[in-house]
Amino acid sequence: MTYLAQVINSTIREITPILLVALCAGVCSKVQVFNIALEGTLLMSAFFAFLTHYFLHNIFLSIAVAMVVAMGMTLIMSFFIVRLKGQPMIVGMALNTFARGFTTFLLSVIFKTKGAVNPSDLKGLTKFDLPGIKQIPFLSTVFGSLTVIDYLAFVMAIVMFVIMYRTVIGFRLRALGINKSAASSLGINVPRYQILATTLSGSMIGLAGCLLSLGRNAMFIQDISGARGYVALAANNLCKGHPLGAMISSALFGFTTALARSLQGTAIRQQLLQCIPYIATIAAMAFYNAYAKAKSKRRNRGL
Amino acid sequence: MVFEMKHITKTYDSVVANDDVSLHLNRGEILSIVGENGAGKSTIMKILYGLERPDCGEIYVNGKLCRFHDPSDAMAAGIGMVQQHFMLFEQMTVAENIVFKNELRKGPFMDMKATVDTVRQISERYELKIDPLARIADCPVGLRQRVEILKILYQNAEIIIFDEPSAVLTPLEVDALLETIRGLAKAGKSIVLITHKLQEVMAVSDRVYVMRQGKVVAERMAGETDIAELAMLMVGHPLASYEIEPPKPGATLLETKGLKLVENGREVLSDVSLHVNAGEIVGIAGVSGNGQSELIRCITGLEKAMGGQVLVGGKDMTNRSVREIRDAGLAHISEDRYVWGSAPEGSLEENVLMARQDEMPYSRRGIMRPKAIREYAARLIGDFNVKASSPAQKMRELSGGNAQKLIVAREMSLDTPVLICCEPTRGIDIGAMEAIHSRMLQRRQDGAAILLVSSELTEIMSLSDRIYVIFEGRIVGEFQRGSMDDKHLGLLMVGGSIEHGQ
Repeated sequence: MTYLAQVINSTIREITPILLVALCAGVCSKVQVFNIALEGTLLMSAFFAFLTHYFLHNIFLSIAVAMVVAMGMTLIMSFFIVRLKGQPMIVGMALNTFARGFTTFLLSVIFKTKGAVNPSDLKGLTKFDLPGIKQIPFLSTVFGSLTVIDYLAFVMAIVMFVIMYRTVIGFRLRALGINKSAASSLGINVPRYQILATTLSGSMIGLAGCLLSLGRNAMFIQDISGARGYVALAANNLCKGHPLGAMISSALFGFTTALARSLQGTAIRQQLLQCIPYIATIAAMAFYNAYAKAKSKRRNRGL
Repeated sequence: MVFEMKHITKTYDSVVANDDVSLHLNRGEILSIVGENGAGKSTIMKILYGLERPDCGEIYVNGKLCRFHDPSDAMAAGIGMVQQHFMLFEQMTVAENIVFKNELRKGPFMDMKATVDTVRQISERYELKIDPLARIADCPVGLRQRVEILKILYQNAEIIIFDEPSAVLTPLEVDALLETIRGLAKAGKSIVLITHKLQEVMAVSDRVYVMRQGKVVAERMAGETDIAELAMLMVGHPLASYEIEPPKPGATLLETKGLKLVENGREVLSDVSLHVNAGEIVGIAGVSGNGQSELIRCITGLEKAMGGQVLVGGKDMTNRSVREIRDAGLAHISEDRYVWGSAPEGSLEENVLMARQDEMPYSRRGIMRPKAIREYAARLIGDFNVKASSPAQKMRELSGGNAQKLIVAREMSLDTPVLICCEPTRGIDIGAMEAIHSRMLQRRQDGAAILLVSSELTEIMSLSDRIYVIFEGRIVGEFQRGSMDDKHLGLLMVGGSIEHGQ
């Protein structure tokens, strides 16, 4: 029972960073900016959140810095793609490679290490307990040691849904993503909308970065993002950019990651376990496409 | 006078698109601007709508001198334009499309109820029936155009420009459109209609400008002119009318037996059987979207039929590859010249060579021979009078009519026993149309079997020796030349039957 509660708890903590990144990916895909720089953005914001916290011991400042760094990365990404008409694939790969090299470089310059920094005297994000939950045996483990940002991730999914599907600005963003020339023929400055929307949504990656480096203890490991950016991209693809759907698809990937982790130490080879989330990604995509195909085929036969 | 354009001149590089053009529009008037493609009629309207800026000249709207930097300036001055290519958001609803940019809001939120109500009101006021909650993706072309018109009305435009509005419509939809245009004028809107379809011009206009080579060459009141005069003014010389010799039909070269195709749960072709003999032109008449495109795709191998047979030259070619079917002796002028008919980014040489790339002398053992290719391209360009700067030019740089002529040249020069012509003259001017028609008749004299699909009933009626009428994927009638009038054909095309009248 406690084991189950722990698995659920660790699932939730795997879901939230993916969800936040997937929400950003959702905005990007709705305005037709193909953002694969998510991974590098996540890595950079995780690193700078840690760095700020390490030197200044100020958790709020760290979160702010992470958000600014993430927005900066996203701004560069969308500026290159939208204004300079760069190939999204190339721009994204360049930023990801840069982020990886830059964080590794700073890690070795500042901390004289190539692996992990795990200062024991540094506390991570404050844990937030739902009022009264401590007394309930099972739920106290399920919702144990979650941070405000973890809860915020789910709130953001709902907020993003309201913004994208109920407000005027969200309506315009979705519309211009469907047909750019139609929007600009009515005098909408499409590139400006695209850049602003992607950049602002990038701040959510900053929050995800904080969860990675400050979520449990304050620590930074090389490549701490661990392909979560790509997983989030897949999660977003699965829910077609819908913020509420992102909760479900992120949960799928969060669960497989947690599953892989909980099976560590069993007879299964660790390398194989580490593949599980990625195999799940491919399987989910394949299954989803097969399903969509079968659906349209059934419609064709329906006569 | 709601607007007046004085001495507008516009040049692109070395081409003069508008040369000292002056025109004006009166309140509540329907004004037509006619001319062949490239005569400058679209350019002058783009200038009025702020999409292009003139080199010199002045625009007055309601007596005030205006300078438009982009369409929103023109819109603010009360000018709206129904573009030839619709500017709509497919996955959104009609109402959402209409209010985009001028949304009705409650604070930061969309006020969907007010939006739907307002759209419904406008649609009722101008008698343009529409379901505000339908998704654009589910709307046929005629309705989409109606949404474009409502969009402009919602923005309170007083001057409405229609750019080739009937190019994409079925005959029934055209009638509805003309009715709409009349209604709008009656409601006090001032209308400019850009077109080269003279029947429509005569049906609705009050006044007509004729443009040729960038200049206004004539101004007529509609009541004081006729189609023949306008056509002559457009082309610059009297039109030749072609004598059609009686057909000498030979063996059956193309035949389909019981073709069947189901798409999205709808039977788009059911039991289609037809044949085309050597030396005859057979027309398929029908409102577009009744299975013509699918029929042609099944015959030419672009789509797999789910039942039935296709015979080319007596051989069973059902569901064979495009290559095999073409090798069996079939050429195909396709419906959409840029999707199926050509590679817009390729050069004219490359486009002319397509389907012949493996033949001597254009290539030898897989190596291309540029000199032979260039000569061949130059010959076709010359023979078919394609206006191009050089064979190395890109396909998409040609005007629509010239691109079509090049495709026709390529397919006809293959000299195949079977020729399929799908919308061979869609969106091209009278001069080019004449040229293509006379080539088709020439091929017929040479003994080719020609299958003609066209949404222009007049084209089908004037060229075909035999006509099949298609409705909802079925052949509902077959007629010999002369035994049918367009009224009866039109009735069959919309699903009526001759015995029972309507």
